[in-house]
Amino acid sequence: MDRDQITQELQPIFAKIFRNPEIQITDSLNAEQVAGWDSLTHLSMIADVESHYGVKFKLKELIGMKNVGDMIDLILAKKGAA
Amino acid sequence: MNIKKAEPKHLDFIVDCIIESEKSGGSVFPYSAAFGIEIVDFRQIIRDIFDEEIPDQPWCLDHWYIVENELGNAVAGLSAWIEGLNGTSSDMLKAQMLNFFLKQEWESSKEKLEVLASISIPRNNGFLQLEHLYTHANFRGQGLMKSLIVDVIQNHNNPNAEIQVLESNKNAVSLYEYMGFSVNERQCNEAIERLSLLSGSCKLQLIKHHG
Repeated sequence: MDRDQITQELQPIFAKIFRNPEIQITDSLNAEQVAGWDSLTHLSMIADVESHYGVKFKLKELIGMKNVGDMIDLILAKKGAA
Repeated sequence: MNIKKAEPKHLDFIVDCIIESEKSGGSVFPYSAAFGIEIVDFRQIIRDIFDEEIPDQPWCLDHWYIVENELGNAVAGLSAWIEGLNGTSSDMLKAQMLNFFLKQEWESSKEKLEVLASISIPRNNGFLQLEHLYTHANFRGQGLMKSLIVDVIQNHNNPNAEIQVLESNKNAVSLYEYMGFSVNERQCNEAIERLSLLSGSCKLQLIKHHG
């Protein structure tokens, strides 16, 4: 599993949660740049990502996520690929 | 009366401030209404969240200011922080914490949370936020909250302050307007009162600009 693979796998998750099939996943993508990315959709997205990768984020990790790149870093670390 | 930064010994009173201010002058405690948990259980969840010491949101001891009476008892309090300092909104931080500690309840409460979110008003980045303003019933009418607000604003050296409150909490709105705050935005959804999720169906964002 590498960064590009995760980026590709996140696309359909984000497209479903934020109801935007055209959404482009980049490391710098964050809540301010996506319509509909509020606290509720954010938590739905996190739940889907945790389920997809079989990982569990700690509270401090969730709080520390500033953008998609931070989340990918955490997924890689938890899957032992960092 | 003595205004001071909160200490761990004030935590019980701070939890009272949060619970009573969330009732916003009414009888509905929104977290019980949304998540279906008793207030006594929610008190512990608030304490658990404070233990995490996560800044830039209202449930962090470092952001609390207290008025003590002559006996050293906390009688009024509020939370004050600068919105979005680390790039994440306080509402997002709070939602993440609640979701973490109320995972199961969150899943079964999604529809109610969406209704509540319909009147959420994004807080202004960089503005001083005042939240959970509360004076113990036995100490009202003495100007304690007014003094506390003035003190906190003066000590933050920030030209903009913001308070969000339910429109139905007339006494609170009157106080804030008397102190120079004015309504900047209003969001309503009658379904909120119909579902008994809050004590009112309209939320106000009040702003004060000062030098």
